[in-house]
Amino acid sequence: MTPTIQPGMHPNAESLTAFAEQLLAAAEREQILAHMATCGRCREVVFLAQKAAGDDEPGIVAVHTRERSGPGRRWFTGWQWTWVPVTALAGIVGVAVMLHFRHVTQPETQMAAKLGATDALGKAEVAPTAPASSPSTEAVPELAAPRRVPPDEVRKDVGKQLYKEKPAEERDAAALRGAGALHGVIGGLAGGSTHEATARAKSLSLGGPMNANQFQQNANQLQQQNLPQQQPLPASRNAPTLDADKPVTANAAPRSVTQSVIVEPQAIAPQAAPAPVPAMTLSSVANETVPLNGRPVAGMKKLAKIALPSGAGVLSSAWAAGRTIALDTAGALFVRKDNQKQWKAVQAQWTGRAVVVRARPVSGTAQSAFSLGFVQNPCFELVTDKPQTWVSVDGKTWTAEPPPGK
Amino acid sequence: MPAAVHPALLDELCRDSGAGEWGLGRGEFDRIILLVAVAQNCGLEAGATASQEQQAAFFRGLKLADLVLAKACAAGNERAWERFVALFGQQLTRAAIAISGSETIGRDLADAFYAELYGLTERDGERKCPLDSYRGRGSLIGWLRTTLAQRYVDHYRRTFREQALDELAHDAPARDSVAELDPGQIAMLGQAVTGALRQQPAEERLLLAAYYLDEKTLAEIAAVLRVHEATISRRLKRATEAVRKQLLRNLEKSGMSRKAAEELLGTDPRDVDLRDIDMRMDLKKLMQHSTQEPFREQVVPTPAAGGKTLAGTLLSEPRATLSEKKTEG
Repeated sequence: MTPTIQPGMHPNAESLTAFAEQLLAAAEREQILAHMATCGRCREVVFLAQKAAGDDEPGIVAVHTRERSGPGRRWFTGWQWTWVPVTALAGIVGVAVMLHFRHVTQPETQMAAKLGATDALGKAEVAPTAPASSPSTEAVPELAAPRRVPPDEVRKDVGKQLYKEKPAEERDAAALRGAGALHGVIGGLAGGSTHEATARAKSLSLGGPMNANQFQQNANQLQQQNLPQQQPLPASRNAPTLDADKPVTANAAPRSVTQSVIVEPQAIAPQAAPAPVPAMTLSSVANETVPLNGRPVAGMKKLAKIALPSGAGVLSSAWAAGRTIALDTAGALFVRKDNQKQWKAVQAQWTGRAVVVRARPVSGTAQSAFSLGFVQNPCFELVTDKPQTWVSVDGKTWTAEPPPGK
Repeated sequence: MPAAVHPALLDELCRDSGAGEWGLGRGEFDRIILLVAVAQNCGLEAGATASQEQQAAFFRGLKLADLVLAKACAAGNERAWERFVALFGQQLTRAAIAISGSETIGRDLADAFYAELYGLTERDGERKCPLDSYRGRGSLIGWLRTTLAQRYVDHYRRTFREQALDELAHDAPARDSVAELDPGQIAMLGQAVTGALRQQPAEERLLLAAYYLDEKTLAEIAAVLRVHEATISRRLKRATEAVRKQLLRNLEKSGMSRKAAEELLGTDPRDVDLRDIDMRMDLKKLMQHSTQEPFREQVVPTPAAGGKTLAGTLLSEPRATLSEKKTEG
């Protein structure tokens, strides 16, 4: 302690306390500072009081040190720096998510175009509208719109796709992609046998075992049905096994191929599909269905944008003739005109639970169901879990469609 | 005089302060708070008239709960005293021990302060309670600590001269080997030092005084000014350099050559008579105790440790700051 005595008046305890607690106005603070600069007694009093406060409240010094760093410095002191790693981390996560989605989207697009042919062969009734030989990102939404094609036509198309004007190696690779397809691709990725690749696909598949099984079924079905076409190229039958030893190219076998396990509208559709109908103009209708066991492809993400009054998620939707109908996960149906924003609930006129809605071709079955006096043809069809198909012109009034053959 | 306080504001303040808890009626509360407002002119310059908004801002800035409790204690309200002891009893004892640095002295100091607070002392036949002077600007516990520190410092000052001479550890530092200067040069140096210090802002002077004279640490100064230690270190360095430059400039202005001015800074500070400056005693001590490097933190200097002067400090090359030291360590 400095035992010097200063002349003059000292600030009272009130002012010194207010000074120590930073409660003084600027002018008064300046006065106290000027006094303390020359008054050892007041300095000592303030320092002792501060020492007592610091001993009594150990955190006070650190806290107050942070408090008065100046308005311009607060960003750069203490924990304020944490925004730097947080921002960096957020950026890294963002880039990772973008890359992930890019990886997912590209293989889905490519594989969807290829698997379109697979499905067409497997089911012999639905074929992709986009040519499989020119896969592009636009193939995905088009894939969602089924086109009914005679099986023979499908085989011919796939045969063209796979073997037309390609050298032998490419043909093998095409056969691998288009026919035996998934085994070979997965095997190439895994660098192991087909069996291992299948097991790996099961374990890696984001869609779960069901997707892998679906792959397996599709591939087997395809192999069986494609056998006649593959006879001129014996190597292609063994392609999966042969190509499993040499990795396929990056384009042919994207890393995330197991994630592209197929988004299959038919997965929730009843197996009792309506009779084949002539092809229709796809630009006039559109169907969207949420797969129950797979990841939605890019085109189906717009389903998520539909907000139904029920608040439930959208299970399936279809657009035709200026109207959109949407089925929610609770089985309720809603309709909306293009120029309207509000969805209107449609009273259930069908029996059972509606599981999928589709935009209906304008000819074929429609004529058979509405040949008696209806001017308009039905635009929509709804399939229940019975399974039974109901059709409607406007999405509001539904009529049961007679079973095929009756 | 402030303008009339709006009754609704007083109602609100009375309700918020909890005055009713101590049996203070609205009239008593109004008297207390208006006295505070008049004494401080609502925080404005003398002669200014506070608007109702300024009044409201002033009153809301007061520690009303503490103020009411202090006034109730000063009035002898037993319940208020019970609350006071419950709130501040142990804190005051701890504060007294921390201030005195001794548990025995601290407890004695706290007991004496309690007695004083309780109004056992009388002046002119009237019971006096220091709590009466509390105006609610700062916290009550802060005010209590400051008052306690004042009591201790005053007691120390009173008893300092009673210490035996051999207990005073301050031996006079040995004079260095700087050549003796004539009185004219010494006077010139005194004026130059006075002028250099006067040109510094008040806060910088406080920094210099606290660091060089009171031997406070950077952490202690930082706690009082509520800035970071590194900030104190930087400001201290800047202030030292500024004083040094100004000192040399002042000497050169008085007709001295640069070399002669620098030589003059090596003068024994005890020879410098600073009659025209309030800090004359402190400055002498500053010059005596400026032997340690300004940023060598936590090293308690001893007067006999070296012969460097303020001038030596000021003339020295800029030294490592606290942060640089930490990096080196």
